[in-house]
Amino acid sequence: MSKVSRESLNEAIAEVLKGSSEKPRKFRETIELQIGLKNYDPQKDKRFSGSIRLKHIPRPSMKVCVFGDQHHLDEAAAGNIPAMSADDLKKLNKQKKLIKKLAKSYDAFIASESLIKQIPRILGPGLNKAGKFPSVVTHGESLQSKSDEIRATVKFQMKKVLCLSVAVGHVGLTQEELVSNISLSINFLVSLLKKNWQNVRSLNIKSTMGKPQRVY
Amino acid sequence: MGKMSKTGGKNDRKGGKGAKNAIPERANSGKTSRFTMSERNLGLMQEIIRKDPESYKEEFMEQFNYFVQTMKLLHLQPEQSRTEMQSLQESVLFLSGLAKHYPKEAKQFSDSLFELLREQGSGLDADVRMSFCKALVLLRNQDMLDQIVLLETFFELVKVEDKVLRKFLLASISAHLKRVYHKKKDVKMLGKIQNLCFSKMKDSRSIVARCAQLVCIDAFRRKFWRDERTANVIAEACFHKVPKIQVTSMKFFLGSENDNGEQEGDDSDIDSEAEDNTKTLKEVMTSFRNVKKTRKRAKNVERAKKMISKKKKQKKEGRSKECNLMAIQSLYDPQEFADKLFGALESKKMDKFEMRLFKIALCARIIGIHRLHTLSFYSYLHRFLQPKQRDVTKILLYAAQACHEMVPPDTIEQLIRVIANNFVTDRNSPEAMTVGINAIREILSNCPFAATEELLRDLSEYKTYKNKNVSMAARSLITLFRAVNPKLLARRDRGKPQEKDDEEKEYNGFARPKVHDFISGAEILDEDDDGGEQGHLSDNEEEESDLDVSDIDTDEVDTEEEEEDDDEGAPVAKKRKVEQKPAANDDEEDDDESDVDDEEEDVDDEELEDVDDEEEEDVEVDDEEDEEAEDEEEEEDVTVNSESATDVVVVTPEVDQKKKATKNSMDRILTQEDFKNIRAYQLKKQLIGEKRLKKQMGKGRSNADEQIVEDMAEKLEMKRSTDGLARLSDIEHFYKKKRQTKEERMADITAGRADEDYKFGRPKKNGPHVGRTNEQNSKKKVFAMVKNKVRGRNRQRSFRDQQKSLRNYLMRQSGRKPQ
Repeated sequence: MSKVSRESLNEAIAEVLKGSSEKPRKFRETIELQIGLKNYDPQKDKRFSGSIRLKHIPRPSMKVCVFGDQHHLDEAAAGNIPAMSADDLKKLNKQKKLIKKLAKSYDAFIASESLIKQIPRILGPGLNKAGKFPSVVTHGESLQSKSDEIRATVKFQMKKVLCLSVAVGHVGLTQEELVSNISLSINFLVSLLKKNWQNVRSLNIKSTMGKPQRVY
Repeated sequence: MGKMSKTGGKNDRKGGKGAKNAIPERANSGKTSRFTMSERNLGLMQEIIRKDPESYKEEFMEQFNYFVQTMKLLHLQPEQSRTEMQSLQESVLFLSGLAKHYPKEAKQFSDSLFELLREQGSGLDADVRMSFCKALVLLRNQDMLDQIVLLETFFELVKVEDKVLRKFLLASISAHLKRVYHKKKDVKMLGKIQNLCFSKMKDSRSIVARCAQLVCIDAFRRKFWRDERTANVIAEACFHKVPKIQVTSMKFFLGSENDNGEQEGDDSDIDSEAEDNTKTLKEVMTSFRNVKKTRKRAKNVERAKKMISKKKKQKKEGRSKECNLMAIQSLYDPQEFADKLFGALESKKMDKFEMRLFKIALCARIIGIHRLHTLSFYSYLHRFLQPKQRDVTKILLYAAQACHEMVPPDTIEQLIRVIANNFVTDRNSPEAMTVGINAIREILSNCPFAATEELLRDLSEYKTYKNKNVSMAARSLITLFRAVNPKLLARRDRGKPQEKDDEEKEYNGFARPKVHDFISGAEILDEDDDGGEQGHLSDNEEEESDLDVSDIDTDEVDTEEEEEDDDEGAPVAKKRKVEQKPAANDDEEDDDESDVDDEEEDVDDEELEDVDDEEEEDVEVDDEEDEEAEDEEEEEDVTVNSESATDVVVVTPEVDQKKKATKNSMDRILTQEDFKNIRAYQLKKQLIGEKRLKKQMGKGRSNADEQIVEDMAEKLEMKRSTDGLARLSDIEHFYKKKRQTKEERMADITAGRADEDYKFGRPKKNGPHVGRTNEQNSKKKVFAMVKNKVRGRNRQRSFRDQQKSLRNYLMRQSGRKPQ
C-alpha cells in the first residue's frame, strides 16, 4: 500500500494548477513541496542533506553566473551567459559588501577548474556564507548544459527546524511532468530519512500564491 | 556597645508588652510569650502562630518591632560581632517563616532587608548577610516579593568577597530558574530574568559578569534557556577581556565531561536505575547454559542479547559527544565568530599555552561543523606541528577536525605535507610516526580529494615497517583509501572491488557535489505494484539478508554467504557491469565518461581477483612482472567482455538497471516496504563486499587486519550519524599497548583494590549470614533454639523405619542381636 496514492497526488496537482489558472499572477508561480518531519531530533541526529536532479527544470529563470578562464569566458560570451573573469573578481578586493551584493544578484555560480581552488582565496568566505559556493565545470562540459543541470538540481537540507520546502516545478509544466518531478523528489527525500516514511509527518504541495494541498 | 543595643531591644520589647498588658484577656498569653521569648524558643512560637495567625498577631508584631529597631541600629553601625547578632538572626528566620500570614509587614520586612543589604552589604558580618539572603529566598519562594529586584540585589551582592555567599547566590538563582521553568512555566518571567542576566554579563565588574555567565551556562545546560540568544551571548563572552571568563565560555562550547553528565541530568538517573535492574550479558548466558534448552528460551536469550548490545551502543554514542553541538550550531554568524577568534589567536598578545590551545580547539570545531573558509588557520597550525611540541596530539586532532570538503585541496595538501615531513620520517620515534600517520588518515578521511598518489604510495610503504604500531597505522590508511579512492593506491594495495558505490557521500570532488539522478537501489523493485516473479525474488532476498544481519559473526553464515556469493552475487555483478554499458551510450557525456571509467576499473579488479593469488605469494612484484600482468589483464579484459556479452544476450535482453531505477523512482511513490527491500539489498551488497575483502586478504590476513576493516566501517558509520568530528583516541591509537612502567602498574593495582567488590562478577553482599549454608548456621545456634527441630526430624521417620528401630530395640532388650 503506497502512502500517497497516485490519484490523490494527481488531484492535488490538478487543484494547484487550477488555482493558478483561475487567478493568474503577473509572474510564473513556482510549485513547491513542503515537508513536515517527525520523530526526528535536530539536535541529536545529524542533519541530512542531499541533492537530486529532476527531469524537468523546476526553476528555469534561475540566474547562473560563470567564473571562467579564457575558454569559458569566450563560450559564455557566445552563449550570452553572465560571466566574470578572475580579474573581475579580484577587483572586488574582498570587500564584504560587494561580495554580498554579488552573491545576492545571482542564484548560483559555476567556476572553471583552474579557478575554483583560488576562489576562497580571492573572494573570502562571502559566497560560502550565502550557501552559493560555485560548483566546478570542466572544459569538456558545455556551460549551457551545466547551468541547466544546476537549474534542475534541488537540494534537500534540514536546518534547525523540523520542516523544509523545496521548489519542484512551476505552473508552466504539464500535469505529467509535475507528477514525475514530485514523485521523484518525494521518493528521494524519504530515502534520505532514517526511518523513511515513519519520519514524515506531512507533505504539502502549493504554488507561490496558491493554497496548499495536502497529499500526505 | 553590643550590650547597649541588646538592652535597648529589651526595653523596646517591654514597651510592646506594656501595651499588651492593657488587655487583661491577653495577659496570660503575653506571659507565655514572654516565657518563650526569654528562652528564645522561637521555633515553638512559630508553630503556634502558624496555626492561628490572626490571634497571635501581637506576638508577631513584637518580634517585628524588635527587628525594626535592630535594623536601625545596624544601619548606623554595620560591624557587630557574631554573638551579638545571634538574636537578630533568629528573629529574621522567625519573621521570614511567618511573613506570608502578614503581607503588609512582610513588605516592610523585605524592604528593610533589601535596603540594608544594598547599602551596607559588604560591611555586614558574613553570617548575618547569609541569613538575610536566606530569608529573602524564603520570601521569594512564597512569592512575597519581586523576583527581579531580588535578582538585582543578588548580583550586587556577588561582588562582596565571600565565597560561601557567592556559591549560595548562584545556587539559589539557578534553583529559582528551575522553579519558574518547571512549576510555573512562566515564559515571560524567564525572558525577563534572561534579559537581566544578559545585561549583567556586560557589567564592567568582572565578577558580576562571571556570575551572570555561570548562570547562563547552567541554564543552557539544564534546558531552561536552551535557545540561540543564550548561546550567542555566551559566545560573545569568548572575547571578554578577563581570561577566566573567556576560558569558561570556550569550555562550554567545547563540552567537558561534566557537561555531558549534567546535560542528560534527570535522564541519566533513570538510565542508571534501569541498568541496575537489567542483567549483564554474561549473566544471561550463564543462566541459559544451565537450563533446559527450549525454543522459547533460546528466542528470549537472543532478544536479550540484542537489547543489551543496543543499550551498549546507545550509551557509547551518548558518551562520545565531543562538543556542545547544539550551542555551536545555534551561533548566528559562525564565520564572523571564527574569524574573530582566529584574529585573537594571531594577535601579538601572548596568552598562556593552555588558553591558546582552547582557542585553537574551538576554532577548529566551528570550522569543521559549519564548513567555513578560514584558510589562514591551516597555515597558522603549521608552526605547532612538531613532534616535540607540547600536546601535539591534541593539535593534530584539531587540525583534523578543521578539515572538511569545502577547503581547497591545495591548502590541505600543504598541511599534510608538513605533517608527513615532520612526523613520518625514519629519524623520528615510532610513536611520532604512528601519530603522524593517524592524523593524516583522519584528515584525508574528511577530505579525500586532497590526497596525492605520490604521497599515499610513500606512506603505504610503511605497511611493512618493523614497528608494529607504524605498520598498522599505515595499513589503516590503506584500508581507508580502498574504500574511498582505490585508484590512488599502488595496484597491489587496492584490493578487490567493493560493489557499494558510496551513496552517502556528498561530494565527488572539491566543489563537485554529488547529485543523484534516481534513488540508488530502486532497480531491484518491481515496476508494477503487485509483485510478479521479481517481487517474490526480492522477498526471498530480504529474508536471507535478514539472516545475515542478525548473526554476522557465526561461522554458519560464512558458508551461507559464500554460497550466495557464488549463486547470486557474481552473476548479478556481471550483469550490472554489462548493463551499464548501453546505458552509458544513451546518457549524457559526463555520465558516459564516468561509466566507462567505472567499467574499466571493474574489469581491472575482476582481473585482479584472478591474478591476486600470484601477487599475494610474491609481494614484491618486479616491473616486468607488472607489465606482464597488465598484458594478461588486457587479454582477460577481452575474454570477460565476450563472456559478459553472451550473458547479456542470454539473461537480460530488456531494460538496463539504471533506467529501471529512474523509472521506478519517478513513476510511483515508494512505500515503506519498498524502502525496506532497498535497504536490505544494499546491506547485502555491502556485506558481500566486506566478505570479499576479507577473503582476498587471503592466508596472510591476521586478526589485526580484520580489526582494521571493522574499525573503519564503524568509524564511517559514526561519521554519518553524529557530529562527524575526529576523536583523540583515533589520533593516539596504538595497535600495541605501550609497556607500562612500574608506577603505572602499581597505580592500576591500587585502583583495583579500592573497588575490589565490584571487580569480579556481582558486588558481594554483606549481611550477618552471607556465605554460609543454613546447615552451618544452625550449628552455631543455641541448642534450645534448634532442639525442637531435631525432635521433629526424629518424628518424621517413616512407619517402616519406626517399626525397624522398635524391633531392634526389643531384640536388644531380650538379649538378642539386632538385625
